Order: sequence, then structure tokens, then C-alpha cells
Amino acid sequence: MRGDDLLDAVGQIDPDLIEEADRPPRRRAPVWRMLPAVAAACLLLALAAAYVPFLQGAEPLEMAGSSPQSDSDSVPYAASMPSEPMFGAGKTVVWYVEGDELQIQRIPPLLDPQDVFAAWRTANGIAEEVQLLSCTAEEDGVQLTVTANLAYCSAYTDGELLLESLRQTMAVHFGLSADACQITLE
Amino acid sequence: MEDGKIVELYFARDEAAIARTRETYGDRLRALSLGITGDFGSAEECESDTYLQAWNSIPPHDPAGYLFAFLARICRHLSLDVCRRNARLKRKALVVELSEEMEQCIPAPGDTPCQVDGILLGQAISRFLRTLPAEKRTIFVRRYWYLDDISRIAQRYRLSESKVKTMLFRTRNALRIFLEQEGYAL
Repeated sequence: MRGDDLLDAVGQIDPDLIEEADRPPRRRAPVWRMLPAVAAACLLLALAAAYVPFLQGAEPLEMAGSSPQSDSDSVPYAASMPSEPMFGAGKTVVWYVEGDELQIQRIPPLLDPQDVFAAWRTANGIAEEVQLLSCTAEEDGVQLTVTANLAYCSAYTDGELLLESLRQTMAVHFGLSADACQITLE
Repeated sequence: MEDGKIVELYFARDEAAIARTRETYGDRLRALSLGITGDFGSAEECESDTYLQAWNSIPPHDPAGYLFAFLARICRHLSLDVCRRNARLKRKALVVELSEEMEQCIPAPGDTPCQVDGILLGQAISRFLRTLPAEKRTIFVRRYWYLDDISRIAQRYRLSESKVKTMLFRTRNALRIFLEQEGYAL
């Protein structure tokens, strides 16, 4: 068989194949027309990836180029959030003492541990003189240092329950268990 | 006029069949022949010869559903013959080039004339073409049936010439393998 023979044989292909090739081809969209849609889709995905955890109550993801704060007075952010939001997405949970029981109060979300402490203080009716001196990450949890005048509050409320309410409040804020939250009065 | 009605005129041996055919498909047939021969005089001759051959072959053929493909097949065959016979035609180089490309598809090319039925081989090639995606299939048919050159195919399908060449090269290899499997190794 020679090339000429095959070229002639191609002439005998089915008529519908001949007619199909004679029809105008489907026009490809120019690549540049798709770029805005692709760019918009990528931007939406990036925003969703960054803010979905935030909506569930966690801190926003660290963006490239930023580094976690390491100052001793700074407040560490939880490395990871609990897998399920315990008390409703987007809320700060504050524990307070009522009688001889602990109660929960949900308030709009707060990011700064100082703000969370202030909310706890308000919920428990504690004076502003009681302050959160520091909040540092340890290997096994978070170390809170509070002014010693917190001890005066046990005169009119159960001191242990009060401290437990603070532990629970800060533990939830950092996504840790209450046992991982240590309180020192100074 | 519809293909069915034109074919009825051929069956009725009404010479209006030629006029209706020329009106409906004359431009396309002339363009096809011009694309192969590259010569206006030869193209007009081939067009006229096509009508004569159609008159002589309808009946017994009944190409009501594919009249253009039927006519185009005759026109292509005549144009290729003209091209091969007339060494002065510029397009002869293209026909030689295409024959050489087709040689790559032959499992065992040789100088002996083809003893394989062209119609059966054409049917085998049709089966092969139906396994291809539409774009590859039509590009192959445009190259080896319509005898378009690479730049024309690239323009038609909005592809680069190198992409068209690569596509055709791979399709020819695939055809060779297909013909081997079909038992066309001679």
C-alpha cells in the first residue's frame, strides 16, 4: 500500500464525517475573556478560606508574611479551635456566679482577652480595680495573672466558684479546657 | 432546493437536476476543487465533470440524505487525479506531501499497488475517526479529505500551526496502530 492509496481511501469515509468537517467549527472564547471570572472566583475562594473559621468564633487565619506575637505581655491566640462551636458561632461566652452555681451569658464576640476579662468582671459584678495583668501561653495551656484584689471578692461570693468562672470563660475564649487555664493572683 | 427533490429530478432524468445542483452546491464544489488543484480552470473542469458523473451514477445511487458529500467525493477524486496528472500544477506538491504523511499511517508501506478494497479501507478509517474527539476528527478530515494546508486549518480552528501539526502527527500514529489491529499490515 502506498500513501496515495490511503489518501484515496480517505475519500471513501462516511458522508456525515465529510459534512461535519465542512460545518463552521465551534468558536473558542478568547482566553482574556475568562480572566475576570477566574480572578473573581479565586478571590472569593481566598476570602472564604480566610473568614469561615472567623465566623465560627475562631481568630482569622494568619496571612502570609505575618508572624505570631511572642511578647510576654501579648495575648496568645489559640492554635486551633474546637472542632465544633460549643455555644454558638460568633459569640463570646462569659461564665458568672449566681448563688452557688455557675451560669452562662452569651455576648457579642470579643477578640481581645482584656475585653473578655472585662466582660467577665461586669457579669460577676466585680470592680474595675481587679485587672488582668497578663495572659501568656504556656506549654500546657494559658497562664493568667490577675491583681490580688480579686481575693477580696470572695468575701461576698464563693471564691472557688469565682475563679472557676474565670477559668471557664478564658478557656472557652482560647479554645482550651478549663484545666489548661492557670490563674495566679499578684 | 432540498436534496430529496434534487435527487428526484435525477431519478426522473430531468436535466433540471444539473441546474439545481449547480445552484445549490456549485460554489462549494468549485471551492473544494480549487483548494486541491490551485487552478481556476482545472477547478471549473472538475466541477463540470462532477455533474456529469453524478448524472451517470444517480440512479442507481440514491444520495438523498447526503447529496453534498456524494458530489464532493466525486469532485475530490477528479481533482486529485488532475493534480497527479498535471505536474505543472502547484498544488501537486501538496498532494505529494499529503501522500507522504499518509504513508506514516500505513502499517507496512510498500511500492506495490494497493490490493485492498478502497471502500472497505474507507469504512475502517471512518470507524477510527469516530473514536476521536470532534475537533481532532474534523481537523484530520480537513487535512486529508479537503486537503487544507496547515495554516488554513490553524486559522479555521483558532489554533497555532504547531498545535495542528502535533495533533495530526498523533492522529496519524493512532491510525497506524488502528489499521494494524484491523489487519491492514501488508
